[in-house]
Amino acid sequence: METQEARPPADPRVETLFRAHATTLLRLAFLSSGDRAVAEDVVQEAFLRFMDHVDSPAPGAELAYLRRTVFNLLIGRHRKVIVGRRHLRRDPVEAGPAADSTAEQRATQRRVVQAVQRLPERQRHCIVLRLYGESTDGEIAASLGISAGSVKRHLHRARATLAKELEDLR
Amino acid sequence: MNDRLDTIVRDALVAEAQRVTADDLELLPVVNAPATRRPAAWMVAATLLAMASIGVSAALAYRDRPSRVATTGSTTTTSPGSPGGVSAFAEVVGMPEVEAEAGTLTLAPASVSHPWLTHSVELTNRGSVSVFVSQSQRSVMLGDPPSLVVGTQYCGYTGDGAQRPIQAGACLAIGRRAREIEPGGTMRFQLTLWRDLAGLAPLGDGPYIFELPLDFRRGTSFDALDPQHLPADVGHATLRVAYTHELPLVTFRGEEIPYFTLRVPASWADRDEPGRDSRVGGDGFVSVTLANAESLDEATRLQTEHVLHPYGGDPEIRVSRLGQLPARLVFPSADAPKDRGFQVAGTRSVK
Repeated sequence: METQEARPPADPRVETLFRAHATTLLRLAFLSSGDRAVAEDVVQEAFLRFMDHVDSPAPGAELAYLRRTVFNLLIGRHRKVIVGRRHLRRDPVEAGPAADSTAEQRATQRRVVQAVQRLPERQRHCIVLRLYGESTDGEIAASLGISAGSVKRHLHRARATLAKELEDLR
Repeated sequence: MNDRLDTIVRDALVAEAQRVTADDLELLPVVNAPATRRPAAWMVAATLLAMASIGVSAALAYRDRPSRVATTGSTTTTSPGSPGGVSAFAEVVGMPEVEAEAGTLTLAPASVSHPWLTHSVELTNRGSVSVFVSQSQRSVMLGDPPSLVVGTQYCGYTGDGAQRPIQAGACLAIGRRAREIEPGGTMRFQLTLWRDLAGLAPLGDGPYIFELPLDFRRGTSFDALDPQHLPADVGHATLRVAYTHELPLVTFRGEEIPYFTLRVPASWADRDEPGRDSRVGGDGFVSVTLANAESLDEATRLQTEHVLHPYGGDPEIRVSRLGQLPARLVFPSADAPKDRGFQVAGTRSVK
């Protein structure tokens, strides 16, 4: 009977990626979905898919693959599928307010965040990737599987909506 | 002005993002083997077994689809509202006033070509001037290797996958006439998807991008019976439809055997078996049982050297880990009995 060593499911490369990018991806997903639980689920699902990926992304392309997977999972129907798959998480910790925010700052921030979360899905994803993720049009396009032209259009519309809603803050 | 707005929004997003970290997330691989990714001949199984005096064992099996040619609804990956676990997103590139929306995916009506899914695409003119759009006819194979055929109406594929390989691009010769989309108006047409045709690879997650050339002119109509004779002022745009495919999975928690979770296809049903937890589907099963053994290797040996030799006479045992725990994976030898489904077993210690 032959016995041999098999590659463990969680290889060091994945562990390293997880430590390096999980928080960034979680925050992108949280800001894009407005739901911490959904964000955690999609980030873990993205890493699981990365591990399952038959043709591993080339070195250097891992983050782009993970980000694209996160946003694929966030879009529409997938979110409903993901909800309920929270078995991988330890005891959930509720998000708390930032420690150094004043009440007034916090109220303003909430208002801005809520305005972002009211944006249509694509516009919301684009604005989060641009302003929080500091992504270029090309990077956003790659993450969302749309063209750079669409990214520009979504960003334009998102900014127009936000400018109107947040007029008094500008 | 945009810079000021960007700063306000960015600051708010950064502050909001500080509320969450991944510190309480854990990277725990779980047993998850979508059928489309498994290379096994027709069934693969994995078994988790115990070490020490008590433990847990599970068997996870997948079988290739029994038919090489799809009939409508034959997939096992259906989910409510989205047959086959497929979603579509559409956009138009190069015609800014026109927005595209992919309609709901439904099972395609049965026909000799064995189509799988169909959905509409609706183009809406958000501009102030009528746009005349001529939609081309096209069918293409998507994926590398090809696993999906997508086509417009009157288009499909040729070949049978046996004598002649499947090839997309077959379309009936239908003249193209531009259709008017008035301001606020819409134009709709239908796309059809095929999968599991003989010779096509299993469908993966995607995305699969289907691109359809569109010719358009603002204000006045035109005929496009022959693309070579289009008027010079006709514009060219592209409809892009991105398909993503996901095997809907659900969490399977132990009832008879507590303290385990596995992810299994949502379509798998509970099978009532005393002393074990099971989920069974048309494409595989998972079955979890308790076992006693002095060690992980002993548990593995008890499985592989069972008098019925469920994994054949010379199975291969691989040392591995499942989650944070040591495990053994057992792959059957060629003489494994087919009625045992060429099971691949794994053992995992539990405490």
